[in-house]
Amino acid sequence: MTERRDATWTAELRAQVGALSLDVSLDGDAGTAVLVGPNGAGKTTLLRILAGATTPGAGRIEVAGRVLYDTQAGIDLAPERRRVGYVPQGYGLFAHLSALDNVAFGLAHGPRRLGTRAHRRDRAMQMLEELDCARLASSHPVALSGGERQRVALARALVVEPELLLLDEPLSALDVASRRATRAFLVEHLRARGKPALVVTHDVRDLRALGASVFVLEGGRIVQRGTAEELSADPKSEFVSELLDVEPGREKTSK
Amino acid sequence: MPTRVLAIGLLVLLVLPLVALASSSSPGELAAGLEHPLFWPALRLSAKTTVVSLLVVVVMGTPLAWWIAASTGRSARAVELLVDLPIVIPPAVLGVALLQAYGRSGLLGLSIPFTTTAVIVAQVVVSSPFYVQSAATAFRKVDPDLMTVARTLGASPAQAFFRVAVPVAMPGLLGGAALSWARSMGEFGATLLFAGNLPGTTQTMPLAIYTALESDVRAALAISLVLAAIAVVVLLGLRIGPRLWLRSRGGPP
Repeated sequence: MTERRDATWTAELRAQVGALSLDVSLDGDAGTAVLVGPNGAGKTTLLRILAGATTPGAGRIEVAGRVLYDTQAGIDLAPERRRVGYVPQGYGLFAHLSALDNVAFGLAHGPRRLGTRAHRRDRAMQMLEELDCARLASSHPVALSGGERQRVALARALVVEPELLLLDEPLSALDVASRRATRAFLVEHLRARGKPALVVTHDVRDLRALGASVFVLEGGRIVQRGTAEELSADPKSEFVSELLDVEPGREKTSK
Repeated sequence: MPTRVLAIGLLVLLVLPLVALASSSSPGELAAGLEHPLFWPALRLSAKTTVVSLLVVVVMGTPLAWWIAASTGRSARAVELLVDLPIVIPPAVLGVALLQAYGRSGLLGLSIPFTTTAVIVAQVVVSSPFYVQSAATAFRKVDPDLMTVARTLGASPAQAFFRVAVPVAMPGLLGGAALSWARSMGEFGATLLFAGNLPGTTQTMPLAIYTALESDVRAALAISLVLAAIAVVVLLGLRIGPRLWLRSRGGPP
């Protein structure tokens, strides 16, 4: 795979995680890249490696000019020093904290630390306002709907200004109605941010709406990359053709 | 029908002694029992030793529980089994074993037996399994994704542990601590053999009941009632506490 000149992040990884052997080369520009693939293809594992939660056997990760991981150079930055945001499937909100304190969490330690509690809460509130969910500030995650959780999780990830944002199936937990609205919202905010994101999805509509650049991961390998149009013009695997053959006008359910 | 009789029979067996205990003393007799010279020193000693042993169990048991919960290997399962051993080994056996380990002619050549320290050691050994088990179960339920998210938000491993794993596991940690403390409060067999029955030094509440029973039944009843009342409070706290905790966070009651 050739490296793009304007890439703001690159990752070349080889890893053996359980039964899965991952061997991939990815890169992306300041836009949103989408990662698709069948269950067990290694999508979540790949995100966890980029976030620093799992260590690959060998490889190199560079984001915005910083080397986060390089086996040859012996570099392996801890997750708290990577400036890579991670929103797991199910959003991973802290159940013991209010929405506001969830968002303020990342301002309490590490490189993005803000001095006082009041200062942190102000900044968190500002972030919630930007994502149109200031009214949720005092609610705890159990009291939020799926779409609301998604916004709070996004606010929490964005408030620390990550150089690369990882979203694992950000829309799969939502019902059809809130899914459409949340998708539009997500597309708008990722675009407005102007920094790279990598989004895992099962849904062809998400793929079309979110990403110019699509990676197809199967059995731990990238079998195809390109735009949605390029993929449907020349699907390189059964998975790709089935994924893109979904009739328009119908929501595909994931999993 | 016969199964119902069996079930009710067991309930009666369980409840009858408590009813008998509760109805055995008039308030006057209870007050007189509390005047008994054994009572206050035993209560003070029990309070002191159980607080110290609970602190030891929580401070040392929490890292152990976290390790057990995080490890999937065979060694972790073996350690789990070891931690559980004091639950199945009779307390009297543990008392003898403690003498062999920490006694003057024991493995370490220490002279701990028959001191307040011995009381605490016995309580720690018998009660820690309850805390460690409960804490490990609670930690296992903490979604690993939460820890990853906390780290990507700038938290060090220690900060992620204290600010995410501990609060999320808190109902389980509190429940385990309460059970463990109740077990220490009731500890009798291992204490009697390893620490003896010296008023003011090793004579905790259960040992004071045992001693009082020989001379003054009223005092034994009074001390028993106080211990039973403490147990009931702990049980209610265990049932109601987590529910209140959840409700304060906007969850379902």
